[in-house]
Amino acid sequence: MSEPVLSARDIIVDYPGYPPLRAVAGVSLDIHAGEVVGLVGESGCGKSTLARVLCGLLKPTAGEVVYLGRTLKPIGVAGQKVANTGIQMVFQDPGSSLNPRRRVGPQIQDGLDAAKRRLGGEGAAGAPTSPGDWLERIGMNADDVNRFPGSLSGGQRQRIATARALAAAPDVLIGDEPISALDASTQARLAYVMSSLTLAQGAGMLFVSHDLAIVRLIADRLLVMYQGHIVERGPAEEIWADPRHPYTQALLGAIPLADGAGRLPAVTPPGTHYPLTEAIR
Amino acid sequence: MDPMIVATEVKRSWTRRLWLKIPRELRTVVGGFACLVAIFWILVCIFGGALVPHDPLAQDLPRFLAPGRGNWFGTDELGRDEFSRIFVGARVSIALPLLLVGMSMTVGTIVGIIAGFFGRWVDEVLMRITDLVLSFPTVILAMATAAALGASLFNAVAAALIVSWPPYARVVRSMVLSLRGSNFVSSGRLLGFSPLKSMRLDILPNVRGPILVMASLDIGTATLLLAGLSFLGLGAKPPLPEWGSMISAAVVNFDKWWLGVFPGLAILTVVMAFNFIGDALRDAFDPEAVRV
Repeated sequence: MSEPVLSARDIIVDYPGYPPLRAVAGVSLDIHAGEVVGLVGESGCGKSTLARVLCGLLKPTAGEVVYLGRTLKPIGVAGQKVANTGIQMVFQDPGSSLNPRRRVGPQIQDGLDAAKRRLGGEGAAGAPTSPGDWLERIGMNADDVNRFPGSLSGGQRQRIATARALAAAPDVLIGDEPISALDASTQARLAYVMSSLTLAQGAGMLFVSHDLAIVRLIADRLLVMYQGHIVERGPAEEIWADPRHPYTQALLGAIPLADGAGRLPAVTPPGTHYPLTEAIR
Repeated sequence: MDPMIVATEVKRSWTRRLWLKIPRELRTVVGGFACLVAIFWILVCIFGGALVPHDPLAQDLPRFLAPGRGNWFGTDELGRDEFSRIFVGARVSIALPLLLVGMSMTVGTIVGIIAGFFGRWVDEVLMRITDLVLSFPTVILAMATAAALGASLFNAVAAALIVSWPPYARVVRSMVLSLRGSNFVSSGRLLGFSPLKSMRLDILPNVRGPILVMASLDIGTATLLLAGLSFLGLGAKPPLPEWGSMISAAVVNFDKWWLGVFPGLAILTVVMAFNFIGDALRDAFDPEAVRV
């Protein structure tokens, strides 16, 4: 296999305290161009911390991040180096992923400008060259460039955040639970849009989520993280079909499956009858 | 057609639409009255010199005339028309506080953004300076500064500026600290924004609203501070008409009530008007405020 675009080598992150909290305990991973790597785990297992380290927003306690063969330095006060703007991230909270005081168009334009500065000329070949085109590419209207984020839904904002990140023509896109704040139907659609557009650009992707059911639909490889360690890794379908680690088995066991029977959770308060319309009236 | 009508579009005249653009906190009786008073004084500030019946510096009237026909607010100890002096004095007593608030807002915002954005030692140094200034009683420090610089209007404004920027720096810094950790700022950083670009595009527009509200509340205080310095003889020099120094002259002639009451009323109305406007704006910008 070719050289990875982004790799982590023995990353350790401690948060200060008494005793210090080891959020990430020696994690190594590789992300190659053209593949989607899923990183799953429960809340607090260190996956968001790892994502922030990978894009340089957080300085690891030990270990290094290697981007295109060189060590990635954490972002200092001076801002990210132009050469490193090929690592982009889509954040978890749709409410704060866009600047509420700026229109959507200029914010996507920032991504396009970043691509032009890094790659020279007109930026990435074959990619949309205006914010309006990007909006259409992610399934919105070109007219939306003049709207403020406040007038958009959470799913739309995450789409725009994705467009901005992809407009920068990244080599690797990190999604830090980008879909967890959205409703179920939007989740799958956005996950699909993100991964397909990323792959269309020939970039690699790390998709962080706690939702194994959706991640396995888009990911080629899966990493299962538990208490700062990666406890299981392998092709997504393999892990889905045959989880080895007890934690992965528990994670898979917790996924509710729609079997058409329309059953409700087994435990109901005594004396209640569904549907609840009677009680509400 | 759908029989269920959920919303009807009401056509409004443009005056009505303009009216509705005004925050509804200002459309109250108190807010409207405060706006009228403020507009009145600002007009006086601009056109006062052309409206007055007498030359505010001319000493050709009898001394200590009680308010009456021709001299509505009476005359002072040098036979100058009190009404004319108040109207012309508005130029100094209102314009300078506005200028002062604008400058302290600018200085405080710049210091606060730099401290909050860069953090670490920059933050430490700037905030310790801010603390140093904040730890003095405002008026005493302004007096000391004005006295050290020498009594003049310019020095009074400079002294007032030195004591009035720290609250802005404090508030802006705390807002920047929370903004700096927000995702859109991180996104900008990942896109290679320079610190200046990040501050200009991502930080400043998000602190602007609360700071303008704070400034509007501060106009009253600034008016009082500058009038206070002039009252103590550290600001406006005679014969320039200024409300604070007029009250100072009134203290010497305590039995001539009109000398103190009218400039006092002028200061009172200005301060109250701007405070009410500031309060209304604060409520309008604060979604948590209880609307009554």
